[in-house]
Amino acid sequence: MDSQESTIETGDDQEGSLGQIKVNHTVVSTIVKMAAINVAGVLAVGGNFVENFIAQISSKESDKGVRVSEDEAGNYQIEIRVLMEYGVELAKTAEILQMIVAKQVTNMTGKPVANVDVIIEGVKMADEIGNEDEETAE
Amino acid sequence: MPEFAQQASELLDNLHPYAIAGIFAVFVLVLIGLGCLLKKPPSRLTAFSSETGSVLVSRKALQELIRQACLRDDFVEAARPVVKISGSKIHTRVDLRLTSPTNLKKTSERLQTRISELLQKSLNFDQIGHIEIMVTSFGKSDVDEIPIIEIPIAEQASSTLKAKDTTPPSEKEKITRLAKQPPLQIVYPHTLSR
Repeated sequence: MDSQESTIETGDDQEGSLGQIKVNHTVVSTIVKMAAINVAGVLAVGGNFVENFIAQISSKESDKGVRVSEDEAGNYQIEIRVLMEYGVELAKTAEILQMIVAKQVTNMTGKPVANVDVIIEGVKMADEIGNEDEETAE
Repeated sequence: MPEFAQQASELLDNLHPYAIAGIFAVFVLVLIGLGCLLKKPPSRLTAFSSETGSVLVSRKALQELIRQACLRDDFVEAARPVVKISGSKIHTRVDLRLTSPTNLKKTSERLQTRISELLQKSLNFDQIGHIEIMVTSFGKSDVDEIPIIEIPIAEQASSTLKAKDTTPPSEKEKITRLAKQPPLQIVYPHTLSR
């Protein structure tokens, strides 16, 4: 979880006169989460029960289901856990998700993404997710 | 520190041999439990891996996928899939509760094909192992709908005796007798095995 707190220097003008630009990993994970949710066939982003519980108590809701780290070259390594909709082609949707997440993170942070590992944690009907959300809201 | 060691040895001396054996047994059980946890089979299957990263599918996701596929069938009331991942292959077993015992074979074959197609879409073809369909029970609703009719044993016996006494009845007589008889009672075992 410490890796989530660390920051990475970004931008082309890292050693410019104006100073460094750093992006917190929590911000990257939020970008990943938002990009993932907009992919057709992805219902939710979230890890297993233990991970979700840790995310709850550490009050870092945005980190839930997304893990961001860096490789030796300083590129992002992203792991995302998702719930997918029943009926979609899982592998194809996951491939699209990889591309969209990588593109979005690169566009927004200016740092390349080394890889995006997608873990499909569950498959649900779209209605089930809607009902769960309504129940939690109540 | 020596005092602590002395106290510990005194405590051990005072312990009943059965208590020591019990503690030892608990220790062994804990070790076995830890061993089982560490040897736990992989709960995820790699769908594909490329330069951009890998895509893994959890066992739970596969089970849910299969369950939803089964529940979409009109003849399936409940489904409980069990997915086993051995190496890079998955073997599936689905316990089903069908709504009615009719079309059992057709339903099972249809589900097998559907599951196979679904898994092919999600995983590589060479990763798909056996797909075992096990019909464990039939739905309650349909059993209730089956007409409950009793054959009065005495009446049945008398009609048999009558038949023995006389010459074989004509077709018209047979039809009349059948029409008078109450329908047969068909009782399906509500649960074959749970």
